[in-house]
Amino acid sequence: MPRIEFDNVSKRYAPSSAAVENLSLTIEDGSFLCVLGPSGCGKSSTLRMLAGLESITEGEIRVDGKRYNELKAQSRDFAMVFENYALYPHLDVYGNLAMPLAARKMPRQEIARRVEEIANTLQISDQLRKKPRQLSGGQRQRVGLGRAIIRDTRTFLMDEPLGHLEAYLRQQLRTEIRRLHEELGATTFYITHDQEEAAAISDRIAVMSEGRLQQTGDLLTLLDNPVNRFVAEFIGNLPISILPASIASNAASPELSVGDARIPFSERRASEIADSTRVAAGRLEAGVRPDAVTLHEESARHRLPLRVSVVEPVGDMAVIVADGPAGRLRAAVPSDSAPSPGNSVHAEFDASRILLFDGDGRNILRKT
Amino acid sequence: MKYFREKRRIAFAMISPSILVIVAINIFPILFAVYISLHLWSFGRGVPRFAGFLNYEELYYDGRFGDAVLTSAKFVFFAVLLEFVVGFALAFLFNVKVRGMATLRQIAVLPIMVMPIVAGLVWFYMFNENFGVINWLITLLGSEKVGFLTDLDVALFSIVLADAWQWTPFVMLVMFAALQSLPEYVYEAAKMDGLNAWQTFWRVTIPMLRPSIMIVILLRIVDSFKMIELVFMMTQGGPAGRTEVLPWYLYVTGFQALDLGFAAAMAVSMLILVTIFTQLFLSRVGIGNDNK
Amino acid sequence: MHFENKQSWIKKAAAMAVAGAVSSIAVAPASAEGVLNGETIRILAIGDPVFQVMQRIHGDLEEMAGGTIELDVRGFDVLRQQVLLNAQNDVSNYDLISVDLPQFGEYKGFLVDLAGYVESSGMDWQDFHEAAWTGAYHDQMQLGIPIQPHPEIFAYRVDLFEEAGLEPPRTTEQVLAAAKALHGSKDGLSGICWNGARGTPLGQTITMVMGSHGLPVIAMDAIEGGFDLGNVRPENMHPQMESDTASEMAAYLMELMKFSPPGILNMAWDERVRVFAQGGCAMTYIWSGRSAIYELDEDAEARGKVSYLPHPAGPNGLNVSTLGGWFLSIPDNLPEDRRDLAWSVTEWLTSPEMMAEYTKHGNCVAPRHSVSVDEEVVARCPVIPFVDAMATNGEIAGWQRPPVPEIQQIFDILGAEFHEALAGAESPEDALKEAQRQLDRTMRRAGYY
Repeated sequence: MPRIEFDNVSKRYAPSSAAVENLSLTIEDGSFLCVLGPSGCGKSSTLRMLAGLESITEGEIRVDGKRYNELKAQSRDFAMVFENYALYPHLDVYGNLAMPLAARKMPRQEIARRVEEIANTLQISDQLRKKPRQLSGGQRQRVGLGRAIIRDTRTFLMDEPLGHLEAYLRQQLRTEIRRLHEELGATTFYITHDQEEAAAISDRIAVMSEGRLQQTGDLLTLLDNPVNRFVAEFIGNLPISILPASIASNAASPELSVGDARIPFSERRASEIADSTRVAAGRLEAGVRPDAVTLHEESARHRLPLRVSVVEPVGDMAVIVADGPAGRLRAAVPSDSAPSPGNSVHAEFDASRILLFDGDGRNILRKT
Repeated sequence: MKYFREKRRIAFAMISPSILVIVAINIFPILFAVYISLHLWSFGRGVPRFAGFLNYEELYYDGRFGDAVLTSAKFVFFAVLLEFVVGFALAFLFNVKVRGMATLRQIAVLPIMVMPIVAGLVWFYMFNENFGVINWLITLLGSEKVGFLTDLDVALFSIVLADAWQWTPFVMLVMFAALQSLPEYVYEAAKMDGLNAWQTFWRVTIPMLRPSIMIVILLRIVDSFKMIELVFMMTQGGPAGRTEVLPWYLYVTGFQALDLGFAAAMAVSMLILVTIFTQLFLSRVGIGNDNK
Repeated sequence: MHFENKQSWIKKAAAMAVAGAVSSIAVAPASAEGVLNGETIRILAIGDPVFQVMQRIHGDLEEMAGGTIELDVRGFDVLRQQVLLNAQNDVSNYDLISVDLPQFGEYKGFLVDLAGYVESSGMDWQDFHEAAWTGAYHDQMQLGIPIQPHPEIFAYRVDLFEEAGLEPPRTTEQVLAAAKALHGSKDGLSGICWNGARGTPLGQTITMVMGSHGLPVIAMDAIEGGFDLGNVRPENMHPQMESDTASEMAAYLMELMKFSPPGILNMAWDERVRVFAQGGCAMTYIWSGRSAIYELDEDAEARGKVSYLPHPAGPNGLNVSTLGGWFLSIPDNLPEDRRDLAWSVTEWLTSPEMMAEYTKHGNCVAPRHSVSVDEEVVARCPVIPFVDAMATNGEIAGWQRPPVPEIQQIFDILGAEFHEALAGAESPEDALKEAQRQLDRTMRRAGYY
């Protein structure tokens, strides 16, 4: 079973602009890796280089230690699932499913058996004589999946396979994809821009931005211990608030000032900051996730005074958007205790969950 | 009810001009041809006499008509075959993304713009045994002259060649457009499915081009069946009738001998032949047939 | 009105022509007294040399005529359709139409008898070649005036014949002997060029060569020195393609094939003359007017080396060349008030001066004796005195191509069927038999018998 390595891989479509830059990444055998990133971040190019659909400008892709750069897509033995399904429009479902087997000159009877088996697995047995254009999106992607798993490959490349589907179908199919991954013991390289999907389906998430790999890890790591401000902002259901901050180093005990709030720091965290050579650069920003904020009516030294602008109900929670001289803050509070727009509130931060970014956006509190 | 009747009347009034135009342009000439074909009708020789199916009867026994049908069939078969194979290959060639290909492509389609009658004249002189460039080159290379337009076994193919010269670019153009419109993702899917180039061509490209292929072949069949200019300019049906296609025989009887009744009977038969053929072709090969 | 003037003018001109003084159109009347006098004449014409010359010098012509000349020049088939359609109009769209000699049979029902005009205008009709003049004489009516009638004659290269010590060929036997001797004797030299192309070209060859073997293709009445083309009745319509004469004709053409240039099966009209002009063959059948192609071309190999004979005679045939070519006629649906003008223009266009003028521009045809002795005309067109002599000797006739309405079908059937024999796809006997069968069917279909 394959172990896939990206070793300093770059992709340039034009000499000056890199779609992917110095990407190094390893996908362990049998794991499910999700590459997550906004559109244009280079995740598709990465997958297409691995598939053999795009050439590699620099670096090396190795599978089980073997250089794959020059290997034709046909010879790489990866199965791929496409965002737009990429079914053969002239063939019915049977023909689409049978294609990878026919390409390998498998006997007709064997093909028929396999197609039936796969169609059963994916619950499309009654669609076999239909053309792709007669199918719904979900059915089409089931065929796309079937076509990928019908042959004996154990490596799957999936390029936003659920991107064009409705929400309930996405949920249904991602469960199925994960199930297939488990059952087949496959190695899966999956691309999405949907973090919830990525979290639900994968073992490990690789976040990419502007052609560079930012961080890999599971969702919790990415949420609580992001490598930089981009990851912090990109990951998380509710957007993180970023506020200017500074360290009050002259105080008796270390304090972090965010706007008018003076937040005491534990000794340990303070020393981490002190260790960071970056602090000298001056500008600091604090990142606070909405669920690390509580709102109070009374003011306090460590609370930040704000005025509520908008209240967005989200189920039994409400997102309070409040503004102050330091900037805008989002806080998630139970609906029943939500303030109204125009109210004055005082925000208190969970000091242990405050993230601090230096001038280059690096998380200086990152635990390694 | 009254409202709907009124509406229908308006609708009919609105479409009636187009119906009239269709009747005038499409239906009337055909009916008139049928009418003429039932008469002994010769230009400038008194009034037409009703003759029932006499013209058709004579047509049935006219060996020259049968020969012309066969010659037409041969011509259509070879011309369309050559045009399709070469045009298709050229379309692939021109699909390669190389600098200057667009210009080359534009040059390649120039023959389409030439009037067929001019093409006939040009090829007549190219193939001519006394003044022709091609035979001049052949003798320069030390070979015997070829009777391009006079050899019993060659003449029809010379016409086929001239027709192919003019219309292969048309096939090329249509197939090129069809190729360009094929979605890239299907080829990526084919690569990922492990199809080699040969398999991709036969299992993906050809089937997806099929509707365009059928349309271009049908167009070329119908069009080459009507070809007359090349024969008119190049051989006038010779040698020994080997290039006498149906339209030329029709021209000879209708416009030279001015035997309008007989010629009309021929035209009507030709129309029936073409219609039957195209209907068969369409139903057999099934354009837009979903469940095939 | 202009009548006196014209008559005296013509006489004067004719006299001058005989004296060899007609050298330029400058002697023609100035526009003020031109024949059109500001009017417009509409002519339906054929795309043959004489009308092409008129197109070329159209501006000069209009100046001479003092009016507008509308020349509607058409190809052969279209012209015929146009003439027949025009005949069905209440009022003709044309003042004058051009008629090919064999077409008089088909057209005679709707052409004006010009005999009265000829007489009243004092046209010197005896100046015309007899065969040309009588070619338009049908049912006691003069239906047209010759403007470009010329015979299909026989041209041979004097230089090559002398070099080889050959006699000028007056019989088909001599033609074949000479062709055999000369064929291939020089690089690229063939024996003889002729119309071998399928359809009308070969059909015409067959009718003419059959004529020089002694019979027309249909059973016309024999008369003194030929056949009666002025009086063809239904019983004359029987085809004669299974006659001994037809077999002799067929044998001769099959022999010719051996000494013909490459591409003979597709050779027609001007191509045979061009091949002859560039020295590709030693002899050719040729419409005499087309000799201009090499006589007026300084680069032509054959220029100045050609002599002319009437069609060589078959074993039982005559040395008789076929007259063809064009006449001017007035359609009978032309209103009376335009006929005088139409006649005046006809008279002018067929005048000796104009005929001499046409020769300057590549039309080597002069169906008038007076023009045929004009030295300058002869210098330009050496063929003209030969034709004139043939006309005087009665070696030109029109009956070979019978003026019947079915003439085009005859050409087509003969030219299609016998091509099978020439191409070797069928025996000559079978080809003749099939041609006979089809011609017979055609005549029956037309209701002659």
